[in-house]
Amino acid sequence: MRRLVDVLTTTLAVLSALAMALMMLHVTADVAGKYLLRAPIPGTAEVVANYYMIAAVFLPLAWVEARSQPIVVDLFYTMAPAAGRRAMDLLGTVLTIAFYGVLAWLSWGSALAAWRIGEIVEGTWKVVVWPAKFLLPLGLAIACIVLMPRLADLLLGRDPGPRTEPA
Amino acid sequence: MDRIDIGFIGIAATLLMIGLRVPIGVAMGSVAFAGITAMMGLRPAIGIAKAIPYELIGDWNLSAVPMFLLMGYVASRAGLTNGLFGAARIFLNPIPGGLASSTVAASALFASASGSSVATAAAFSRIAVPEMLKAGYSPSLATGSVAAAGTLGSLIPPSVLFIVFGLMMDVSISTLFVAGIVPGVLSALMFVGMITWRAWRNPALAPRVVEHHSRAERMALLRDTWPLPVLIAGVMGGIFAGIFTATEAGAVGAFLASTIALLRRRLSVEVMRQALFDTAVGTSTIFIIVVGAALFARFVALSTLPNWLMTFFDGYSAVTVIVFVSALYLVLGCFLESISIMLLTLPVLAPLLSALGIDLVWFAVITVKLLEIGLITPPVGMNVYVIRSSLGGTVPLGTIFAGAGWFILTDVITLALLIGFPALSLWLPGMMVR
Amino acid sequence: ETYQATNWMAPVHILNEFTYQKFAEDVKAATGGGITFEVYSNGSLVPARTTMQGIRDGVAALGVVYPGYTPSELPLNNVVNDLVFVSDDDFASAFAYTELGLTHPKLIAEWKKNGGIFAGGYSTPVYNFVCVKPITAAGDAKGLKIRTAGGAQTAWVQSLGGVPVSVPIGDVYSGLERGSIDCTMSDPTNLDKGNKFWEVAKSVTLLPMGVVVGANYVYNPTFWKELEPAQRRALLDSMAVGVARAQVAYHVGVQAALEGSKERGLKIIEPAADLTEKLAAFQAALVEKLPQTAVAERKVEDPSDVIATFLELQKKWKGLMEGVDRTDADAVAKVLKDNLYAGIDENSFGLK
Ligand code: NA
Ligand code: NA
Repeated sequence: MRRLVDVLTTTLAVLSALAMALMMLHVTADVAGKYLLRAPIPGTAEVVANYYMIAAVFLPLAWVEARSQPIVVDLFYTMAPAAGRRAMDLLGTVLTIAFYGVLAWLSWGSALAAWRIGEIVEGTWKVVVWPAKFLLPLGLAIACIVLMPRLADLLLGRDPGPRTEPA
Repeated sequence: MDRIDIGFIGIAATLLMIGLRVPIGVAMGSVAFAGITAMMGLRPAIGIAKAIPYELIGDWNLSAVPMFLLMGYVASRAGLTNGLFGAARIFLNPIPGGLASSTVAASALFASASGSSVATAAAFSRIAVPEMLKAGYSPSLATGSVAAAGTLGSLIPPSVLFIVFGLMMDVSISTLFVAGIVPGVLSALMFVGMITWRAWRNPALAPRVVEHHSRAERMALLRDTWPLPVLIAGVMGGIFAGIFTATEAGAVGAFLASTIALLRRRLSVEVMRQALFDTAVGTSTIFIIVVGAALFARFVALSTLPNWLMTFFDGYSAVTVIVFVSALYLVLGCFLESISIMLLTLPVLAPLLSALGIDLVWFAVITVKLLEIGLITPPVGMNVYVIRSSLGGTVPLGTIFAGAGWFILTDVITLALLIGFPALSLWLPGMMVR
Repeated sequence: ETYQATNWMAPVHILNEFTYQKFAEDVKAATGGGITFEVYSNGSLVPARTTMQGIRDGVAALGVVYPGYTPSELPLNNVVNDLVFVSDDDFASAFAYTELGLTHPKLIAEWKKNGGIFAGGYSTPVYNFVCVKPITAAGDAKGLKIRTAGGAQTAWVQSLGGVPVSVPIGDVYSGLERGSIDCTMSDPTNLDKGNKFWEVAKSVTLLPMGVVVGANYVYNPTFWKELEPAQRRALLDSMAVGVARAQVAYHVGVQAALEGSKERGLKIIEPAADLTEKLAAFQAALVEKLPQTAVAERKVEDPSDVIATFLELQKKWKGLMEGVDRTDADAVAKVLKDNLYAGIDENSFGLK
């Protein structure tokens, strides 16, 4: 399980890091094309919005849950006794799984619907966007999976241990 | 139960959950989902939850955030920001408290490459604090100045806070960036003034350091640091002149920072890999809160809370409302982190602000300044925590907060100036090509 | 009873102020408070692109839907939007699109499939070139970077040898100012109103390059069915007024914008004959090829019947509007009511 979690989180995070590199190069090339050659790259804004941004936000979710830390307020947590901390951990983990789970399920439905109609966006240029819609359920669901061992530890009264910082 | 009651209960539940260490985005999102269900039924709640995440994130303007994060990460990971403190020292060492003022100056420069205050504080705690302690500076002044100087990170552009504000309130991000410049520089000058005055009155706080730099040394330091300010000036100048949109400026800035690092043989595959990774993870961490907050905003709108607030403030002047908002932000700033405060409050406040005809660019500057102050107020002051942990706990939390106290006082004066003289924020954007 | 209405435009936008804010007041008065719409503006309830979905899911009972945002979900409506590149009269287009949506079985079915009842449409004013580098003759556009909103506009600019550029509407002003674009295709109301292109543009070429149509009023079917017939009647009558008001406001806006532009020293250019001829040829080819391209690209059944009906209706409304004062909202509303909305039966419309 641990191994699977590692592979999944790393793969998704690498993909989103690649999306960041592509975003930088794509937009820079578009700007250069626009000013130097009078030839901007068609569809840049649509691709950046629908592919790179979606990848950047939803694919690293599992990594954030497994290895770093979503943004939380620690104030009362640090003051609470051990039992209180465990209860807070449990609440946070359960709600995160529920929230990501519901969003994963709903966005899976939207992705299927988009795929069936071959969804495109139509600005100055037409860009196919349905594949991007599958990135949401993918990232959200794997974030849920990553949280499962943690949930099990908390329910069984074991210490789930700290989230490991990226190597 | 009326929708307004559900609205109040929802806000209370959100704050409670955040206090119980539920991730902030999750807390806002779940309350929104439950609250909309209670008000309108499950189908509309599902409808909103289905529509928001993709539509919100799939937005060209949002991509300014990762691009500026990347520019900052590349610049600092590739060591382009390393020499800033040394260079500032050459010029400021002769004045009383010169090392602390050098920290402020270097932080201001670093801030113009970094979109985040906490990152700025983290960078300088490792460089500047040990130097000041070695020179016999009082630990509270040494750490306080780094904590406070770090807050310039979000006021001086680029700034993630301005980007998020612009998106939520539909204000041009470029305009907000330009609006932050004068208040940012003013804040830095006020800090320097306060440090100088205190060190002059009480030399024991900051003993004079006698240093002699040869001309060659000075030149070497300048050679090391000039590319970064030049890069930043270019990127911001491009925004000011209307050549780049914020996203384009971020991407070009990241690309140029990489290119400079490459030319100076500072860009390894490892550096680039780390910078890209940090950018992706940072973007995700921020925007999952934005997703929760966008759901929360719908919940707030449906709850008719903004109307209630408008009736409540009926007849009050804009300045009264600003003062009220300032107090609210200072209180929230004691517990919450900046982006979350903005995301929690703006949906409630937005209709009130527009009804009062408050200039949103001016309001953005005040908001960011307030949120910055929140980073150094107890009990939760992110910058203070960051400094403590990066110093390995050698300086107690209380000492750092005490040192930050003088800077908070200074900031309150700066804030009063910004509120009293809107031109400080609005003059420069008025000059730019829209 | 209170219901939610969603509009992604600002409260002062013509398609919000006249069709939603005032409409909500009218409806409240006409139904004695039986129907009160809470209008959510700026997309504060559902984002622009997902309005159709929000109506379907009951997030809002009523919303303004621009079919171009969901081309894959409303393909036939988008065929009509491809077609109106040939329009030169926004009143005729708006009313023809409204009648088509209210009465043509294929369009009714498309809205129904998406979970909505179409009940009124709008048309933007006719698009022109707003430029920093003036366009008079066909050759002038060669090499110019021209902002287009897609569809036929992009193909038309390419056929002139121009470079179509995609720029968010909020960045067009600075784009014109800085020269990252030379022209934008735009309806003249953008010269003043909000976008203020007249501060940076140098010329307007009065070449009628079509309009853009959309739905002012799309209802959630459950909401519609649960109303009393008298309430549906009140809504139908108020919509006739709302649709008319929007077009009148656009018309008045265009006059004021062009007048103001002239005063500011912009050149108002009548296009040269070769440019007009080139456009006419492009439009003729567009209409001729539209059925095939629609079948191929929009994946719809042969839409020849829809195209023919629309063009016929457009001609009919052009005739009905002859001699009517286009600045008089009441007069226009009367034409629309007498010739369309009065004939819509509140006891059967939208109930099947
Ligand atoms: Na900054
Ligand atoms: Na604080």
